Amino acid sequence: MNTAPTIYLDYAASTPVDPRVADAMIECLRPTGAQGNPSSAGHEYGRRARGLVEKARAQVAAAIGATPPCIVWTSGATESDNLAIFGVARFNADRGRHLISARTEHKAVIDPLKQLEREGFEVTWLKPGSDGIVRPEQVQAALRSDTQLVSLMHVNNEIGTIQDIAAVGAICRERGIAFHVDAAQSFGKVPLNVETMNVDLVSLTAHKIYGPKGIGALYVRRKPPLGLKPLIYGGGQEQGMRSGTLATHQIVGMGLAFEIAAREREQDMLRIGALRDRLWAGIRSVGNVELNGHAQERVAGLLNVSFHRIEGESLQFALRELAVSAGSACSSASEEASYVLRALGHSDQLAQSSLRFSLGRFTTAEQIDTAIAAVKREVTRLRSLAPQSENNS
Amino acid sequence: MSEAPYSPLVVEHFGLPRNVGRFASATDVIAASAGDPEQGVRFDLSARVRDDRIVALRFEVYGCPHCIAAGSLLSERLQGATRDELRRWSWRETADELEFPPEKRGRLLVLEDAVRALAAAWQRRGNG
Repeated sequence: MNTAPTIYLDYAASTPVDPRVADAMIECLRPTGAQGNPSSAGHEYGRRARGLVEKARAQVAAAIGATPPCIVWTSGATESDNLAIFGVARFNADRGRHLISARTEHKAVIDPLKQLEREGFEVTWLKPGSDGIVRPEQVQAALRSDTQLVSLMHVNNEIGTIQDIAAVGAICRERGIAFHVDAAQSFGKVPLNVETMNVDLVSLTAHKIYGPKGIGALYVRRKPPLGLKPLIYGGGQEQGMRSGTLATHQIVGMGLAFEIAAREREQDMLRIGALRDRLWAGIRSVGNVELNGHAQERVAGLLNVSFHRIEGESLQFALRELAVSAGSACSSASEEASYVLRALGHSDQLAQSSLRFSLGRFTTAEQIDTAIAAVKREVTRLRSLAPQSENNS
Repeated sequence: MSEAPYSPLVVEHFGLPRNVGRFASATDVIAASAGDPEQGVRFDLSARVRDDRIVALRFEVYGCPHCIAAGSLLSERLQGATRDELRRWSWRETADELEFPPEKRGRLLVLEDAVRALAAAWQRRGNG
Protein backbone atom coordinates (compact mmCIF):
# COMPACT_ATOMS: atom_id res chain seq x y z
CA MET A 1 0.00 0.00 0.00
CA ASN A 2 2.75 2.43 0.85
CA THR A 3 5.17 1.61 -1.93
CA ALA A 4 3.23 3.40 -4.70
CA PRO A 5 3.42 7.18 -4.64
CA THR A 6 0.50 8.93 -2.96
CA ILE A 7 -2.00 10.13 -5.56
CA TYR A 8 -2.50 13.87 -5.24
CA LEU A 9 -6.20 14.73 -5.28
CA ASP A 10 -6.05 17.87 -3.16
CA TYR A 11 -5.79 20.58 -5.82
CA ALA A 12 -8.36 22.69 -3.99
CA ALA A 13 -5.91 22.93 -1.09
CA SER A 14 -2.99 23.85 -3.30
CA THR A 15 -1.65 23.08 -6.75
CA PRO A 16 1.82 22.16 -7.92
CA VAL A 17 3.56 25.01 -9.70
CA ASP A 18 3.27 24.68 -13.47
CA PRO A 19 6.77 24.05 -14.88
CA ARG A 20 6.34 27.03 -17.22
CA VAL A 21 5.67 29.23 -14.21
CA ALA A 22 8.57 27.77 -12.25
CA ASP A 23 10.93 28.49 -15.16
CA ALA A 24 9.84 32.12 -15.34
CA MET A 25 10.27 32.53 -11.59
CA ILE A 26 13.72 30.93 -11.61
CA GLU A 27 14.80 33.34 -14.34
CA CYS A 28 13.88 36.19 -12.02
CA LEU A 29 16.06 34.80 -9.26
CA ARG A 30 19.17 34.43 -11.38
CA PRO A 31 21.89 37.13 -11.33
CA THR A 32 20.66 38.27 -14.72
CA GLY A 33 17.06 38.28 -13.52
CA ALA A 34 15.38 40.98 -11.51
CA GLN A 35 17.35 41.66 -8.39
CA GLY A 36 16.41 45.31 -8.10
CA ASN A 37 13.64 46.72 -5.95
CA PRO A 38 10.67 47.50 -8.19
CA SER A 39 10.33 50.80 -6.34
CA SER A 40 13.87 51.90 -7.30
CA ALA A 41 13.01 53.95 -10.35
CA GLY A 42 16.42 55.62 -10.40
CA HIS A 43 18.41 52.78 -11.96
CA GLU A 44 17.98 50.04 -14.53
CA TYR A 45 17.83 47.19 -12.00
CA GLY A 46 14.79 48.72 -10.37
CA ARG A 47 13.20 49.65 -13.65
CA ARG A 48 13.66 46.12 -14.98
CA ALA A 49 11.98 44.66 -11.88
CA ARG A 50 9.20 47.24 -12.16
CA GLY A 51 8.67 46.26 -15.78
CA LEU A 52 8.18 42.62 -14.82
CA VAL A 53 5.80 43.55 -11.99
CA GLU A 54 3.70 45.71 -14.31
CA LYS A 55 3.61 43.03 -16.99
CA ALA A 56 2.29 40.58 -14.40
CA ARG A 57 -0.23 43.14 -13.18
CA ALA A 58 -1.52 43.47 -16.73
CA GLN A 59 -1.69 39.67 -17.07
CA VAL A 60 -3.77 39.31 -13.92
CA ALA A 61 -5.99 42.25 -14.83
CA ALA A 62 -6.64 40.93 -18.33
CA ALA A 63 -7.54 37.53 -16.95
CA ILE A 64 -10.45 38.97 -14.93
CA GLY A 65 -11.58 41.74 -17.28
CA ALA A 66 -10.02 44.54 -15.22
CA THR A 67 -7.56 47.33 -15.87
CA PRO A 68 -4.05 47.03 -14.37
CA PRO A 69 -4.33 49.87 -11.79
CA CYS A 70 -7.12 47.90 -10.07
CA ILE A 71 -4.76 45.09 -9.07
CA VAL A 72 -3.15 45.35 -5.61
CA TRP A 73 -0.52 42.70 -4.80
CA THR A 74 -0.91 40.91 -1.47
CA SER A 75 0.52 37.79 0.17
CA GLY A 76 -2.48 35.66 -0.82
CA ALA A 77 -6.23 35.37 -0.64
CA THR A 78 -6.34 35.52 3.17
CA GLU A 79 -4.68 38.91 3.18
CA SER A 80 -6.85 40.04 0.28
CA ASP A 81 -10.00 39.02 2.18
CA ASN A 82 -8.78 40.83 5.29
CA LEU A 83 -7.88 43.96 3.33
CA ALA A 84 -11.23 44.02 1.54
CA ILE A 85 -13.36 43.44 4.64
CA PHE A 86 -11.50 45.49 7.22
CA GLY A 87 -10.64 48.05 4.57
CA VAL A 88 -14.21 48.81 3.53
CA ALA A 89 -15.73 48.42 7.00
CA ARG A 90 -13.28 50.72 8.72
CA PHE A 91 -13.23 53.29 5.92
CA ASN A 92 -17.01 53.57 6.07
CA ALA A 93 -17.53 53.00 9.80
CA ASP A 94 -19.01 56.48 10.27
CA ARG A 95 -21.66 55.84 7.64
CA GLY A 96 -22.88 52.42 8.71
CA ARG A 97 -21.80 49.27 10.47
CA HIS A 98 -23.80 46.52 8.84
CA LEU A 99 -22.21 43.76 6.75
CA ILE A 100 -23.63 40.70 4.98
CA SER A 101 -21.97 37.37 4.36
CA ALA A 102 -22.74 33.63 4.52
CA ARG A 103 -22.13 30.83 7.00
CA THR A 104 -20.27 28.75 4.45
CA GLU A 105 -17.58 31.32 3.66
CA HIS A 106 -13.90 30.53 4.09
CA LYS A 107 -12.42 31.25 7.52
CA ALA A 108 -10.41 34.06 5.91
CA VAL A 109 -13.73 35.87 5.50
CA ILE A 110 -15.56 34.60 8.59
CA ASP A 111 -12.83 35.44 11.07
CA PRO A 112 -12.31 39.08 10.00
CA LEU A 113 -16.11 39.54 10.13
CA LYS A 114 -16.23 38.03 13.62
CA GLN A 115 -13.49 40.43 14.66
CA LEU A 116 -15.58 43.30 13.29
CA GLU A 117 -18.54 42.03 15.33
CA ARG A 118 -16.35 42.32 18.41
CA GLU A 119 -15.56 45.88 17.33
CA GLY A 120 -19.25 46.79 17.23
CA PHE A 121 -20.20 45.97 13.65
CA GLU A 122 -23.25 43.87 12.90
CA VAL A 123 -23.06 40.96 10.47
CA THR A 124 -25.99 39.17 8.85
CA TRP A 125 -24.93 35.56 8.26
CA LEU A 126 -26.97 34.15 5.39
CA LYS A 127 -27.77 30.44 5.51
CA PRO A 128 -27.43 28.67 2.17
CA GLY A 129 -29.86 25.99 1.04
CA SER A 130 -28.94 22.32 1.43
CA ASP A 131 -27.27 22.59 -1.99
CA GLY A 132 -24.91 25.28 -0.71
CA ILE A 133 -26.43 28.07 -2.81
CA VAL A 134 -27.16 31.49 -1.31
CA ARG A 135 -30.12 32.89 -3.25
CA PRO A 136 -29.67 36.47 -4.53
CA GLU A 137 -33.09 37.23 -2.99
CA GLN A 138 -31.64 36.39 0.41
CA VAL A 139 -29.03 39.09 -0.11
CA GLN A 140 -31.68 41.52 -1.32
CA ALA A 141 -33.80 40.85 1.77
CA ALA A 142 -30.87 41.35 4.14
CA LEU A 143 -29.81 44.76 2.78
CA ARG A 144 -30.33 47.72 5.12
CA SER A 145 -29.79 51.43 4.85
CA ASP A 146 -26.59 51.07 6.89
CA THR A 147 -25.16 48.08 4.96
CA GLN A 148 -21.61 48.82 3.82
CA LEU A 149 -20.44 45.53 2.36
CA VAL A 150 -21.64 42.19 1.01
CA SER A 151 -19.00 39.47 0.94
CA LEU A 152 -19.69 36.16 -0.81
CA MET A 153 -17.36 33.55 -2.18
CA HIS A 154 -17.63 32.64 -5.86
CA VAL A 155 -16.87 28.92 -5.47
CA ASN A 156 -16.99 27.15 -2.13
CA ASN A 157 -13.70 25.54 -1.16
CA GLU A 158 -15.23 22.43 0.40
CA ILE A 159 -18.11 21.55 -1.90
CA GLY A 160 -17.34 23.47 -5.09
CA THR A 161 -20.75 25.10 -5.33
CA ILE A 162 -20.84 28.13 -7.64
CA GLN A 163 -22.73 31.20 -6.42
CA ASP A 164 -24.61 33.47 -8.79
CA ILE A 165 -22.17 36.33 -8.36
CA ALA A 166 -23.51 38.38 -11.27
CA ALA A 167 -27.03 38.43 -9.80
CA VAL A 168 -25.78 39.50 -6.36
CA GLY A 169 -23.48 42.02 -8.05
CA ALA A 170 -26.42 43.62 -9.85
CA ILE A 171 -28.35 43.95 -6.59
CA CYS A 172 -25.43 45.53 -4.75
CA ARG A 173 -24.53 47.88 -7.61
CA GLU A 174 -28.10 49.14 -7.82
CA ARG A 175 -27.99 50.03 -4.12
CA GLY A 176 -24.43 51.36 -4.23
CA ILE A 177 -23.21 48.81 -1.71
CA ALA A 178 -19.68 47.44 -2.01
CA PHE A 179 -19.53 43.80 -3.08
CA HIS A 180 -16.53 41.64 -2.25
CA VAL A 181 -15.97 38.21 -3.81
CA ASP A 182 -13.46 35.64 -2.61
CA ALA A 183 -12.47 34.05 -5.90
CA ALA A 184 -9.62 31.89 -4.59
CA GLN A 185 -11.39 28.72 -5.74
CA SER A 186 -13.04 30.06 -8.88
CA PHE A 187 -10.51 31.83 -11.02
CA GLY A 188 -9.27 29.55 -13.78
CA LYS A 189 -12.18 27.19 -13.25
CA VAL A 190 -15.25 29.28 -14.07
CA PRO A 191 -15.55 32.55 -16.00
CA LEU A 192 -14.76 35.59 -13.88
CA ASN A 193 -15.24 39.11 -15.19
CA VAL A 194 -15.34 41.99 -12.74
CA GLU A 195 -17.16 44.30 -15.13
CA THR A 196 -20.01 42.06 -16.26
CA MET A 197 -20.41 40.65 -12.74
CA ASN A 198 -20.53 44.09 -11.08
CA VAL A 199 -18.08 43.26 -8.33
CA ASP A 200 -16.04 45.86 -6.47
CA LEU A 201 -13.43 43.77 -4.71
CA VAL A 202 -12.09 40.34 -5.66
CA SER A 203 -9.63 38.22 -3.67
CA LEU A 204 -7.24 36.23 -5.82
CA THR A 205 -4.41 33.84 -5.12
CA ALA A 206 -1.72 32.17 -7.23
CA HIS A 207 -1.22 28.82 -5.54
CA LYS A 208 -4.65 27.43 -6.39
CA ILE A 209 -3.97 27.93 -10.06
CA TYR A 210 -0.47 26.46 -10.53
CA GLY A 211 1.37 29.54 -9.33
CA PRO A 212 3.54 29.91 -6.21
CA LYS A 213 2.34 30.14 -2.63
CA GLY A 214 2.76 33.46 -0.84
CA ILE A 215 1.39 35.78 -3.51
CA GLY A 216 -2.11 37.01 -4.22
CA ALA A 217 -3.96 40.10 -5.26
CA LEU A 218 -7.00 42.14 -4.44
CA TYR A 219 -8.94 43.64 -7.30
CA VAL A 220 -10.19 47.06 -6.20
CA ARG A 221 -12.66 48.96 -8.35
CA ARG A 222 -11.26 52.35 -9.42
CA LYS A 223 -14.18 53.98 -11.19
CA PRO A 224 -15.76 55.33 -9.16
CA PRO A 225 -13.02 54.92 -6.56
CA LEU A 226 -13.71 52.66 -3.64
CA GLY A 227 -12.59 53.80 -0.18
CA LEU A 228 -10.33 51.30 1.52
CA LYS A 229 -8.39 51.68 4.76
CA PRO A 230 -5.05 49.84 4.52
CA LEU A 231 -3.97 47.10 6.90
CA ILE A 232 -0.25 47.57 6.40
CA TYR A 233 1.55 50.89 6.50
CA GLY A 234 5.11 51.55 5.38
CA GLY A 235 6.62 52.49 2.05
CA GLY A 236 3.33 53.38 0.41
CA GLN A 237 3.58 50.76 -2.32
CA GLU A 238 0.47 49.73 -4.23
CA GLN A 239 -0.96 53.25 -4.09
CA GLY A 240 -0.73 53.16 -0.32
CA MET A 241 -3.12 50.25 -0.05
CA ARG A 242 -0.47 47.67 0.72
CA SER A 243 2.99 48.76 1.76
CA GLY A 244 5.98 46.43 1.53
CA THR A 245 8.64 45.63 -1.05
CA LEU A 246 7.09 43.81 -3.97
CA ALA A 247 8.18 40.17 -4.40
CA THR A 248 9.13 40.31 -8.06
CA HIS A 249 9.61 36.58 -8.69
CA GLN A 250 6.36 35.68 -6.90
CA ILE A 251 4.47 38.32 -8.86
CA VAL A 252 5.97 37.12 -12.16
CA GLY A 253 4.83 33.61 -11.25
CA MET A 254 1.31 34.74 -10.49
CA GLY A 255 1.07 36.79 -13.67
CA LEU A 256 2.09 33.90 -15.89
CA ALA A 257 -0.07 31.41 -13.97
CA PHE A 258 -3.09 33.66 -14.53
CA GLU A 259 -2.33 34.15 -18.20
CA ILE A 260 -2.01 30.39 -18.73
CA ALA A 261 -5.13 29.66 -16.70
CA ALA A 262 -7.21 32.15 -18.66
CA ARG A 263 -5.96 30.74 -21.95
CA GLU A 264 -6.30 27.05 -21.10
CA ARG A 265 -9.31 27.12 -18.79
CA GLU A 266 -11.97 25.77 -21.11
CA GLN A 267 -9.82 22.94 -22.39
CA ASP A 268 -8.60 22.06 -18.86
CA MET A 269 -12.09 22.09 -17.40
CA LEU A 270 -13.50 19.80 -20.08
CA ARG A 271 -10.83 17.22 -19.37
CA ILE A 272 -10.94 17.60 -15.58
CA GLY A 273 -14.74 17.59 -15.51
CA ALA A 274 -14.79 14.29 -17.39
CA LEU A 275 -12.32 12.80 -14.90
CA ARG A 276 -14.42 14.08 -11.99
CA ASP A 277 -17.54 12.46 -13.50
CA ARG A 278 -15.63 9.23 -13.91
CA LEU A 279 -14.55 9.39 -10.26
CA TRP A 280 -18.10 10.03 -9.06
CA ALA A 281 -19.51 7.19 -11.16
CA GLY A 282 -16.96 4.86 -9.62
CA ILE A 283 -17.48 6.02 -6.05
CA ARG A 284 -21.27 6.03 -6.14
CA SER A 285 -21.27 2.41 -7.27
CA VAL A 286 -20.15 1.47 -3.75
CA GLY A 287 -23.61 2.59 -2.53
CA ASN A 288 -24.82 4.63 0.44
CA VAL A 289 -22.90 7.74 -0.53
CA GLU A 290 -24.05 11.34 -0.91
CA LEU A 291 -22.78 14.04 -3.19
CA ASN A 292 -22.37 17.22 -1.16
CA GLY A 293 -23.25 20.54 -2.76
CA HIS A 294 -25.22 21.41 -5.85
CA ALA A 295 -25.42 18.65 -8.47
CA GLN A 296 -24.93 21.00 -11.43
CA GLU A 297 -23.78 24.40 -10.17
CA ARG A 298 -20.36 23.24 -9.12
CA VAL A 299 -16.81 23.59 -10.26
CA ALA A 300 -15.39 20.88 -12.54
CA GLY A 301 -12.51 19.63 -10.45
CA LEU A 302 -14.13 19.06 -7.08
CA LEU A 303 -16.09 16.17 -5.65
CA ASN A 304 -17.22 16.12 -2.03
CA VAL A 305 -18.78 12.87 -0.90
CA SER A 306 -20.19 11.66 2.41
CA PHE A 307 -20.09 7.95 3.14
CA HIS A 308 -22.83 6.44 5.28
CA ARG A 309 -21.82 3.93 7.97
CA ILE A 310 -18.16 4.87 7.87
CA GLU A 311 -16.20 6.72 10.52
CA GLY A 312 -14.33 9.62 8.98
CA GLU A 313 -10.91 9.23 10.54
CA SER A 314 -10.77 5.53 9.71
CA LEU A 315 -11.83 6.28 6.16
CA GLN A 316 -9.09 8.85 5.75
CA PHE A 317 -6.44 6.59 7.23
CA ALA A 318 -7.58 3.62 5.17
CA LEU A 319 -7.22 5.78 2.06
CA ARG A 320 -3.82 7.20 2.93
CA GLU A 321 -2.56 6.27 -0.52
CA LEU A 322 -4.74 9.20 -1.69
CA ALA A 323 -3.91 12.79 -0.76
CA VAL A 324 -7.42 14.13 -0.14
CA SER A 325 -9.05 16.42 2.41
CA ALA A 326 -11.41 15.06 5.04
CA GLY A 327 -14.33 16.47 6.98
CA SER A 328 -13.14 14.47 9.94
CA ALA A 329 -12.38 16.68 12.92
CA CYS A 330 -9.71 14.39 14.35
CA SER A 331 -7.50 14.71 11.35
CA SER A 332 -7.67 18.41 10.65
CA ALA A 333 -6.68 21.55 12.48
CA SER A 334 -10.27 22.49 13.18
CA GLU A 335 -12.03 21.31 16.31
CA GLU A 336 -15.33 20.45 14.72
CA ALA A 337 -16.56 18.42 11.81
CA SER A 338 -16.84 20.52 8.66
CA TYR A 339 -18.82 23.66 9.50
CA VAL A 340 -19.70 24.00 5.83
CA LEU A 341 -21.41 20.61 5.65
CA ARG A 342 -23.09 21.21 8.99
CA ALA A 343 -24.40 24.53 7.69
CA LEU A 344 -26.01 22.58 4.85
CA GLY A 345 -27.89 20.55 7.44
CA HIS A 346 -25.70 17.43 7.59
CA SER A 347 -25.40 15.47 10.83
CA ASP A 348 -22.04 15.42 12.56
CA GLN A 349 -21.59 11.83 11.49
CA LEU A 350 -22.18 12.55 7.83
CA ALA A 351 -20.05 15.68 7.90
CA GLN A 352 -17.32 13.73 9.60
CA SER A 353 -17.36 10.93 7.05
CA SER A 354 -16.90 13.20 4.07
CA LEU A 355 -13.97 13.34 1.70
CA ARG A 356 -13.10 16.11 -0.72
CA PHE A 357 -11.44 14.91 -3.90
CA SER A 358 -10.07 17.75 -6.00
CA LEU A 359 -8.56 17.20 -9.41
CA GLY A 360 -6.36 19.39 -11.52
CA ARG A 361 -4.18 19.95 -14.53
CA PHE A 362 -1.89 17.02 -13.84
CA THR A 363 -4.50 14.44 -12.79
CA THR A 364 -4.58 11.37 -15.04
CA ALA A 365 -7.28 8.81 -15.84
CA GLU A 366 -5.02 6.12 -14.42
CA GLN A 367 -4.85 7.96 -11.10
CA ILE A 368 -8.63 8.26 -11.01
CA ASP A 369 -9.06 4.54 -11.67
CA THR A 370 -6.59 3.72 -8.90
CA ALA A 371 -8.47 6.06 -6.56
CA ILE A 372 -11.82 4.45 -7.40
CA ALA A 373 -10.44 0.98 -6.73
CA ALA A 374 -9.01 2.11 -3.39
CA VAL A 375 -12.25 3.77 -2.29
CA LYS A 376 -14.34 0.73 -3.21
CA ARG A 377 -11.97 -1.65 -1.45
CA GLU A 378 -11.64 0.33 1.78
CA VAL A 379 -15.26 1.45 2.07
CA THR A 380 -16.41 -2.13 1.66
CA ARG A 381 -13.84 -3.32 4.18
CA LEU A 382 -14.68 -0.71 6.83
CA ARG A 383 -18.41 -1.28 6.43
CA SER A 384 -17.85 -5.00 6.95
CA LEU A 385 -16.40 -4.19 10.38
CA ALA A 386 -19.33 -2.01 11.43
CA PRO A 387 -22.12 -3.27 13.70
CA GLN A 388 -24.78 -4.85 11.51
CA SER A 389 -27.66 -4.50 13.96
CA GLU A 390 -30.66 -2.42 12.92
CA ASN A 391 -30.19 0.42 15.34
CA ASN A 392 -26.96 1.54 13.74
CA SER A 393 -26.80 4.19 11.09
CA MET B 1 -1.49 10.94 5.41
CA SER B 2 1.44 9.66 7.44
CA GLU B 3 1.08 6.88 9.95
CA ALA B 4 2.51 9.11 12.67
CA PRO B 5 -0.60 9.38 14.88
CA TYR B 6 -0.86 5.59 15.03
CA SER B 7 1.48 3.09 16.68
CA PRO B 8 2.69 0.12 14.60
CA LEU B 9 0.36 -2.16 16.57
CA VAL B 10 -2.65 0.04 15.71
CA VAL B 11 -1.64 0.06 12.05
CA GLU B 12 -1.32 -3.71 12.07
CA HIS B 13 -4.69 -4.39 13.70
CA PHE B 14 -6.40 -1.68 11.64
CA GLY B 15 -5.16 -3.26 8.42
CA LEU B 16 -5.94 -6.81 9.50
CA PRO B 17 -8.44 -6.88 12.34
CA ARG B 18 -8.89 -10.27 14.02
CA ASN B 19 -12.18 -11.98 14.89
CA VAL B 20 -14.53 -9.57 13.14
CA GLY B 21 -18.19 -10.50 13.02
CA ARG B 22 -20.86 -11.82 15.34
CA PHE B 23 -22.22 -15.17 16.43
CA ALA B 24 -25.82 -15.95 15.65
CA SER B 25 -28.04 -16.26 18.70
CA ALA B 26 -27.68 -19.63 20.37
CA THR B 27 -27.83 -21.06 23.85
CA ASP B 28 -24.06 -20.85 24.27
CA VAL B 29 -23.77 -17.33 22.84
CA ILE B 30 -23.75 -14.09 24.86
CA ALA B 31 -23.81 -10.65 23.29
CA ALA B 32 -23.61 -7.00 24.31
CA SER B 33 -22.94 -3.59 22.87
CA ALA B 34 -22.12 -0.01 23.89
CA GLY B 35 -21.83 3.36 22.22
CA ASP B 36 -23.54 5.08 19.33
CA PRO B 37 -22.21 5.87 15.84
CA GLU B 38 -23.63 9.39 16.20
CA GLN B 39 -21.16 9.84 19.03
CA GLY B 40 -18.37 8.42 16.92
CA VAL B 41 -17.92 4.98 18.43
CA ARG B 42 -19.85 1.76 18.95
CA PHE B 43 -18.72 -1.73 19.88
CA ASP B 44 -20.77 -4.91 19.49
CA LEU B 45 -19.36 -8.00 21.16
CA SER B 46 -20.54 -11.59 21.01
CA ALA B 47 -18.94 -14.65 22.57
CA ARG B 48 -19.40 -18.38 22.61
CA VAL B 49 -19.00 -19.71 26.14
CA ARG B 50 -18.51 -23.18 27.54
CA ASP B 51 -18.32 -24.04 31.23
CA ASP B 52 -16.73 -20.97 32.71
CA ARG B 53 -14.72 -19.81 29.74
CA ILE B 54 -15.06 -17.83 26.55
CA VAL B 55 -14.12 -20.17 23.74
CA ALA B 56 -14.44 -17.60 20.96
CA LEU B 57 -15.16 -13.87 20.76
CA ARG B 58 -16.22 -11.77 17.82
CA PHE B 59 -16.48 -8.00 17.57
CA GLU B 60 -17.92 -5.33 15.31
CA VAL B 61 -16.91 -1.70 15.54
CA TYR B 62 -17.75 1.72 14.24
CA GLY B 63 -14.91 4.02 15.13
CA CYS B 64 -11.49 5.51 14.51
CA PRO B 65 -8.39 3.39 13.75
CA HIS B 66 -7.54 3.24 17.46
CA CYS B 67 -10.99 1.82 18.21
CA ILE B 68 -10.79 -0.77 15.46
CA ALA B 69 -7.40 -1.88 16.80
CA ALA B 70 -8.75 -1.93 20.38
CA GLY B 71 -11.64 -4.20 19.41
CA SER B 72 -9.31 -6.50 17.53
CA LEU B 73 -6.81 -6.68 20.39
CA LEU B 74 -9.58 -7.29 22.88
CA SER B 75 -10.91 -10.16 20.81
CA GLU B 76 -7.53 -11.84 21.01
CA ARG B 77 -6.99 -11.19 24.70
CA LEU B 78 -10.35 -12.46 25.83
CA GLN B 79 -10.16 -15.80 24.08
CA GLY B 80 -10.24 -18.35 26.87
CA ALA B 81 -11.09 -15.75 29.51
CA THR B 82 -13.09 -16.72 32.59
CA ARG B 83 -16.01 -14.69 33.93
CA ASP B 84 -13.75 -13.19 36.56
CA GLU B 85 -11.19 -12.18 33.96
CA LEU B 86 -13.94 -10.64 31.86
CA ARG B 87 -15.28 -8.70 34.85
CA ARG B 88 -11.82 -7.48 35.77
CA TRP B 89 -10.92 -6.28 32.26
CA SER B 90 -9.92 -2.65 32.29
CA TRP B 91 -9.23 -0.20 29.49
CA ARG B 92 -5.84 0.82 30.87
CA GLU B 93 -3.79 -2.06 29.56
CA THR B 94 -5.19 -1.65 26.05
CA ALA B 95 -4.58 2.09 26.21
CA ASP B 96 -0.93 1.51 27.04
CA GLU B 97 -0.44 -1.27 24.57
CA LEU B 98 -1.94 0.65 21.65
CA GLU B 99 -0.51 4.00 22.78
CA PHE B 100 -3.96 5.60 22.86
CA PRO B 101 -3.74 9.39 22.82
CA PRO B 102 -5.23 10.86 26.02
CA GLU B 103 -8.01 12.67 24.16
CA LYS B 104 -9.27 9.34 22.80
CA ARG B 105 -9.32 7.39 26.06
CA GLY B 106 -13.02 8.06 26.51
CA ARG B 107 -13.60 5.76 23.57
CA LEU B 108 -11.96 2.92 25.47
CA LEU B 109 -14.42 3.49 28.28
CA VAL B 110 -17.13 2.71 25.74
CA LEU B 111 -15.33 -0.56 25.03
CA GLU B 112 -15.14 -1.21 28.77
CA ASP B 113 -18.89 -0.62 28.97
CA ALA B 114 -19.39 -3.22 26.26
CA VAL B 115 -17.20 -5.72 28.13
CA ARG B 116 -19.07 -5.06 31.39
CA ALA B 117 -22.37 -5.55 29.57
CA LEU B 118 -21.07 -8.81 28.15
CA ALA B 119 -20.15 -9.98 31.66
CA ALA B 120 -23.60 -8.99 32.88
CA ALA B 121 -25.22 -10.92 30.02
CA TRP B 122 -23.19 -13.93 31.00
CA GLN B 123 -24.28 -13.53 34.60
CA ARG B 124 -27.93 -13.34 33.60
CA ARG B 125 -27.58 -16.35 31.43
CA GLY B 126 -26.09 -18.43 34.25
CA ASN B 127 -23.62 -21.25 33.76
CA GLY B 128 -23.48 -22.54 30.26
